[in-house]
Amino acid sequence: MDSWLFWIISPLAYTSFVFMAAGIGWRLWQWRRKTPSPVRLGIFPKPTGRRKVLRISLDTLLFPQLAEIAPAFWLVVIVFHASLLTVFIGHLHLFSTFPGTLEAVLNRAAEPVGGTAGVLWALTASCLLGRRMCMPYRATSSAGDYLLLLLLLGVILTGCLLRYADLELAVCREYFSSLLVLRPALPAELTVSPYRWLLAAHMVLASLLLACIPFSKLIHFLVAFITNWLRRN
Amino acid sequence: MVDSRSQQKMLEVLEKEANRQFDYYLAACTGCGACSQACHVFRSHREGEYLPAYRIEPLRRICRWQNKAPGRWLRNDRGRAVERAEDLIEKLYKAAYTCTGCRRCMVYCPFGVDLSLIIGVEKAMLAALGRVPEELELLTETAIEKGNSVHLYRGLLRQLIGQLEPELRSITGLPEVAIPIGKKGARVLFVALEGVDRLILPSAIFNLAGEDWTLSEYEASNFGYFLGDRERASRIARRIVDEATALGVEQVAVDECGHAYRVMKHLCPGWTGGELPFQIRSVIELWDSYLQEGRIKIKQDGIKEPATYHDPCQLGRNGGIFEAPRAVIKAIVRDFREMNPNRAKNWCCGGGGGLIARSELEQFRAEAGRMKAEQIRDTGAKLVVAPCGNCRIQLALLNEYYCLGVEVVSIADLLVKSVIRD
Repeated sequence: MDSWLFWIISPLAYTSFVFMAAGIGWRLWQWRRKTPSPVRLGIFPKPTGRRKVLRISLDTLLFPQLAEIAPAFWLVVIVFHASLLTVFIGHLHLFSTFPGTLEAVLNRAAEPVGGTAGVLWALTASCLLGRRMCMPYRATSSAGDYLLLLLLLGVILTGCLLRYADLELAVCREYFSSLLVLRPALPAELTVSPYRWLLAAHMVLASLLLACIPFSKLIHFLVAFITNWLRRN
Repeated sequence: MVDSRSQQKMLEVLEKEANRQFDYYLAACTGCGACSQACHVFRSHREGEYLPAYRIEPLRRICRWQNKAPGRWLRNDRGRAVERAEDLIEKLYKAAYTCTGCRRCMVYCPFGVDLSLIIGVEKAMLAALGRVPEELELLTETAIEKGNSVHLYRGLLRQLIGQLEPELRSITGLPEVAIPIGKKGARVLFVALEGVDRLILPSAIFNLAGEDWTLSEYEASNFGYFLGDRERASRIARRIVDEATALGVEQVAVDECGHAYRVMKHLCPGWTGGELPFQIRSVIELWDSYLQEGRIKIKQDGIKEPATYHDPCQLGRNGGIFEAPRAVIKAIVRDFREMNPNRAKNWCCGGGGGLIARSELEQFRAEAGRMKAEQIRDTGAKLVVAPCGNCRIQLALLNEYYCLGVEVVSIADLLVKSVIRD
């Protein structure tokens, strides 16, 4: 049996995904249970109506005020998150094909855009790790922060290597789309591929990272929307 | 000593004060430290412990331990102390009481984390142990005591006011002047800062404008607020709410001071639960309306010296008063120069958060004001207008420490100097 490896990583992927979703739900519920502050503590001036929505979206997605006081850090963080977004979109292609021109665009963009995003992501993640090792930022960093960044680097680097692995996209898509519909199927090309170990490593690390989201600083991806709203409220 | 009972008390306070926003902010702060560049204390001292995000680290640790082993957060599973309790308390104290609460970091934070809210909880926990700056504690108790037995002060206040009237006549040039107290149905209840100056200058403006006003028996400052003690802060604010309600005034005008206005306008209604039956304004807005309505007139030649305006943090980004003071100053001053940055992004003077009341911090404050001093120097102004009383004391210190050669004045100073007396 060459497929035993996948009998481990498929359930692991499911478990981590369920754990992440449940964990986020649990945290949201815990927050809702608390009494809210009796006063509105936003910063002035407070825009209203459509300008408020625009302002908060801009604050959350691009945080331009950070560029004013720390332009280099802002650039690193923006490139980091933009790469994350690009890679995320690219991974959707692993689950399904897309209609019409979108499919053609994705196919054309995969190599130059996806590949570059991976490299940029690895570089900027290293910057963040290095930055945390220097004072004064070391003071606000805990062991968990370093572990998370190392884990992320592991995910990115294995992902970058997979780009050059001799694995057919169609074969991978067969596996991942079967995962998505909860009926894991294993194409023979995948189970005997010499690159299956690399793929397994990538998936194990990514699963661990997903599972960390609710109870680590990674939760900022969600709270950022709430706290940015509070600032202008 | 931190015995288990005090630990218990601290945890009860944490339980009570840690609201939904507190949890959001602790979850949002990634400790990226971008706030370092926004903070005047960090920029001038360059020490890791003054990094804004670091100020919440001791509390973050307490919360983490509390989750792991409730009630035994200073000990690990084997019962060994993780950290000496006394050390942790000292860290909390230093973190909480070297922050001016200006919330400039909140403007620049990519998440908009309100560190001052978390620091407020740290202060409340320290207060449960009785670990508070003595001066602030004393001032808070005095204010509450005064609220309990105001009749004892009434005679004294009337006597003082009687003595001020001749001076008031000579300032205003009016034959009839009055500083009414306890006048029912007056339009405006004015709440002054401490000090004879803060009685006489605003009184002069009200008399010149022919305002139907009355003076509050209480002072505008709220030292309970600086202690992170919401209960006592709201009792201090409550005195003024009760007075205004009893007199049936239309509006309460809070003196130029920053935190006093913010506490009354933005915090007190939420704390005491519900809408107040009167309007709360900064006295600066009232004075601006006098100018617009032509109730007071300004001398044509004006003040020729270059002047600049300091946005007090609690009045500006935390209070929402940006334009009224500028309108008044621009009506008087010919050469007005903005500081850079200004309004919501203005640098804190370094005297907020009750730091001004603590003489042992003078050197610390002087250094913490470096950004402000440079900002003032860059404008080339000779006159620095600062409404907030705390800011003025601090700016006077900076003026001396950095040899700025400026004059620091309040808006009332400026108005009384330039108003036309018929």
